[in-house]
Amino acid sequence: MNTSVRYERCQQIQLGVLPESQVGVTMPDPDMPQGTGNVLCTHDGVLLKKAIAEHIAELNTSGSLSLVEYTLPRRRLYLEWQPNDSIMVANDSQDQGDWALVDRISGRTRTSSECNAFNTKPVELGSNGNGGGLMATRARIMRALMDDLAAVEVGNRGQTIRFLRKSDSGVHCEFFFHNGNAELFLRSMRQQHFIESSETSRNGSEEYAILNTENQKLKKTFTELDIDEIKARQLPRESWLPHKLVSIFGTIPDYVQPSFQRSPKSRPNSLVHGDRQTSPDQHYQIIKMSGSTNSACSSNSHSRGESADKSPADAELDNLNAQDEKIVNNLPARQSVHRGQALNEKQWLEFRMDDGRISDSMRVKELIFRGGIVPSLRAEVWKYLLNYNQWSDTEQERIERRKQKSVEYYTMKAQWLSMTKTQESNFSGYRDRKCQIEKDVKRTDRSQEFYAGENNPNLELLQGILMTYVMYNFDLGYVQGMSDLLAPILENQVNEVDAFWCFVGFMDMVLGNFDMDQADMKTQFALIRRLLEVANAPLFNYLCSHDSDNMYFCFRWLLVWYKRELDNDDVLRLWECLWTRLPCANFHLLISVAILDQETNVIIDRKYEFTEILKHVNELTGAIDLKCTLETAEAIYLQLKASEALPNDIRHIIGQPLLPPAASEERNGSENDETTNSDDGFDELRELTPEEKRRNQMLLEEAYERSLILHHI
Amino acid sequence: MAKTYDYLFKLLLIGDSGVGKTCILFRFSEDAFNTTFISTIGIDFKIRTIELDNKKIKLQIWDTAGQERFRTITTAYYRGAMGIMLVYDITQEKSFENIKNWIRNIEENAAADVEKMLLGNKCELNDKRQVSKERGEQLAVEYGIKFMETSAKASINVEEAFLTLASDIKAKTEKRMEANNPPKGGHQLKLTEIRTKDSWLSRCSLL
Repeated sequence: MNTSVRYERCQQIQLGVLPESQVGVTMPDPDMPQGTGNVLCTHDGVLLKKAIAEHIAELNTSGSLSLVEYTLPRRRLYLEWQPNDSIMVANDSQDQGDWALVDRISGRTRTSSECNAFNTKPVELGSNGNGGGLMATRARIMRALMDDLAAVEVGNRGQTIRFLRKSDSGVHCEFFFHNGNAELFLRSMRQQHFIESSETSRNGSEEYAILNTENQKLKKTFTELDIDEIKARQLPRESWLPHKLVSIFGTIPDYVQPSFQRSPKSRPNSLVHGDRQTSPDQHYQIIKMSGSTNSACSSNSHSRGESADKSPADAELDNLNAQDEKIVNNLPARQSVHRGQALNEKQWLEFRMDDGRISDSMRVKELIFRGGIVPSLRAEVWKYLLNYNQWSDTEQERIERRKQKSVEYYTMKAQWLSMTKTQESNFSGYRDRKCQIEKDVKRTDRSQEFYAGENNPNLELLQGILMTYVMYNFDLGYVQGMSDLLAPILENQVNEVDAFWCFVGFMDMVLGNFDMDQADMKTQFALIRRLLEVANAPLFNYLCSHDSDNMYFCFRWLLVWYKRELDNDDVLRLWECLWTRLPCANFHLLISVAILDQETNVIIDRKYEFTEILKHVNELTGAIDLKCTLETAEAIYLQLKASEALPNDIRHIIGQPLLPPAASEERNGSENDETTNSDDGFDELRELTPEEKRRNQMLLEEAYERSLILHHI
Repeated sequence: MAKTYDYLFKLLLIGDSGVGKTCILFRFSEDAFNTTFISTIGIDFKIRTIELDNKKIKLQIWDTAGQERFRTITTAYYRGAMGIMLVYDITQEKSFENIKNWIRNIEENAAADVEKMLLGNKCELNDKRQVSKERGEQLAVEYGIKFMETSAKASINVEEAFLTLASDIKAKTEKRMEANNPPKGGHQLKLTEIRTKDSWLSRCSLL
């Protein structure tokens, strides 16, 4: 109800005013946190169920549970719960939260919760007039230093979480999540590497180990590390490696310490240095400076604007962080790419041999990929790109094939043309398809001269071809978006037979887009997400932390291959480039990555949330610079390709040979231990199994739902 | 950028393909009509802020693709909706028959207490009418929801429909706020506190 109020409050917790007796946890050192904390994630509707005696008055009170990072006197992470008397949880919120969205992921609690990592800058207290009110609340904060906690357990079907003390493994505190959504809080903690799954599962509860601040950083770094960085060195069983991590790394025979030889002792306690909540735009700049956009965890204290008074220890730390960046920045610098000239008639004639065959079709495709086709040649060359004409056919064979295809077309056309009224009324599948086509033809490219005006005969052609396609592939039939794909082809080919077979060729490339269950679209979202993770980590991280990493906003882009985003000429340019299937069949996904790459600063600087990103993306129509996008997409492709240590799943996406099997064999041992934990960061090293793909898919859908919960309720 | 408003309501337009969902939205948000519309692919939304009883209400209205095929995508957006406009085309019997399927869809995917309203669009095409106004009214009564015939083209009842739906949601929201937050307690929220930036935080007004 009053989230905004509470939010401000969460953001502005000022410490130091808290009487010692109110501090709920054993604070090992006297240096209490001071100043303003940076809220990393927060969650409402959380009842305090168990706590030490000082907080007995607050038991069963609803409040908010947060993870707060303090920088003074040292960077430390605290778990904080504070009662919020004015927080109301609607009685029926639980009912609302339990809608089943998509059947196959039922059983998960979905509620009106939030758990979000904020990219916030600390705000000084007193900037609003609520100071007095805050005081009272502040005094009742229950705070625990994360380093003092050993584990967190979630139980009671995701409604309860309890934190266990490190000292004696006893229960430090227990919280009841009003909306049954404790797992969202844990997920957020896990994503930020504050905790990791632990195998323990007694009495059906899940347990997570809490990583201490050093390990958080370590864990985070290692999730980004690449196999080649890791290979060929010795694994030091250093004492600073938490035993859990040692056990993970121990299964990789030749993991090693990075070459710059950091001594374990030289890693100061405060190594938690500014990794998590840096301002994303600064984050981005840093990465740019390091010549690559592949750093998910890099950043240093500069990004917090704290460079002014730096102690030598801090400087050393920065140095280490800088080196960390180098470890993870394993993509080579992005090279600039320039589009070439369009394939022209003279060139085309040179490729055309006397008997009509086309020599060196690969070279032709390369030229087209690089520069497109001059408009006068399109009608002819598209037939090759769309698999209607065969490159190796002689002129004679081509004429024969065309004749045969023409007969085939008219046969199919006659089938629907001869449908009687009675047949039609007894055939709902046909009727529905026909009806949908009629509706869409009327509103396809009507602003194009070719389709403009009432009673335009070209509309009839468009409809006829789509109807014939229904007879050609009745199972698919007609799905919205297909008319968008056909219209430019028909306009270009004019002849309906040619247009039909070219359309068939195009459809063969994008059939999956129109699947009944939209599974292929979802897979494509997952691939874009993965590509972005590697190619543009800052944006990827931003999207993740704003619950927008489901990539659903790419839907229209992918469904009709950017048709709605570009003007007609650009659509033709883009499509003929993509039809070459160069440099890889998934290049159309890299177009999405490239567009997002260009929008990175806008999205991050303006702090867009899911709905705003969707709106922004939808409004890019007409504003996309195609040339720049194509060049960026290719540059990203080349950048990925040039990376020797590229994970196999990315290699697979961009059609590169996979890493030698030796590398994956070495990993078998670790797979046994960690098969259930895809968060370990090592799944990049091998191809995903179908099980993992399903899991990834599920995670993606979860992310999507999460974003909906957060932004649309 | 940051607008202030008292409430943010998320509304959804659903109904068969081609019944005029996008046109209704365009009429309401831009007060315009365009005959060369294109089919909606995926999902989009428009925003318009209205004022009711001195309260600023920001309406975020989601427009969905109508074809069955896209329901796995579009139903995902039902969840946060507080109001749903069910639209059929009075010149398309089938689109009227399908309303019951759309209702089922809502029942399966949206909140149980979501406000619904039935709209028979294209009422300016009286000569092509296939669904009588009475049938529309009757169906609405059956589902216990309000009904209006609209014309996005002739600008009939579009504004009224949205204002009605928003007003019903507002009444429900305020009722719930009162129930959860009795006025005598010391913690009553002032509306000024609810006013917030244009972000997900604004959902505070929705609980």
